[in-house]
Amino acid sequence: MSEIRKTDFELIEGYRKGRLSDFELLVSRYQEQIYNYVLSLVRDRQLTDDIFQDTFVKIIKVIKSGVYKDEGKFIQFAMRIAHNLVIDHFRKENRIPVVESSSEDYNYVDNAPITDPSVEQGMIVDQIHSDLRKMVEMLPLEQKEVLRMRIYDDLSFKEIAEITNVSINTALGRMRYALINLRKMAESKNVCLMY
Amino acid sequence: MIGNATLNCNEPYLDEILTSQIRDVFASQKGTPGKSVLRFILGFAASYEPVENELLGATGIMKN
Repeated sequence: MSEIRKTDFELIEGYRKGRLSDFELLVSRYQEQIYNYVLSLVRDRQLTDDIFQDTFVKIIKVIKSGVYKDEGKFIQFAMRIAHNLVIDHFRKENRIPVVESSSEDYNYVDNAPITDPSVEQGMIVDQIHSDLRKMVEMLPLEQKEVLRMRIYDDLSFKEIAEITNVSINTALGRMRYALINLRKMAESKNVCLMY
Repeated sequence: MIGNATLNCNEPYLDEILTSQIRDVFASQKGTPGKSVLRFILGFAASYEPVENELLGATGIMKN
């Protein structure tokens, strides 16, 4: 059987039985997705390296201890670990955004210093992306997270709910408020996101 | 456009243009793990052996 065609679970089982090359393949298969997921949340490469490393240390321990169960995609399992480590980090730093997912009253206008005259002067794609990036960064962590998972990672709400350990309705609600908040910020700053 | 236009698609307040723009934003935030990190992970993977408690926990056996 070709190495590249092995399923995730076959690689996990191979590694558990002592074949390191299977684990290397597993890492190379998902390192980019996991790393960029963490990076998008913490926005710090050194910290991302640390969390990425801790994620795989935990994965190794789970696999080697024989408790890994093939209940779905490996990537969901890995991202759930990464998600928990990110949350742990922000808790330790006491930096979890205080805005509740259900809050529509947060004053993004006063807390969003993103006015840029060039926005009014032309619809330049780079500028639009820059503005949108700033707005996405200002979203509460859980909203930014679900936005990325749904739109960029193309995960279903069921998968997102499992990774972030919330109900599907909560995941849907976070997505809804993320988009509402983006719209509010765009309206308040007169940012047009169409080109 | 999230200002005041087409916002009703399969998901609330989301349209194709905004979806594309958000995807572009996340796509621009890319990085790769440092080589030293990958070396550490593979080294750890090669050398790690679960301690007794972890194995007992995996099998549900309680130690007296």
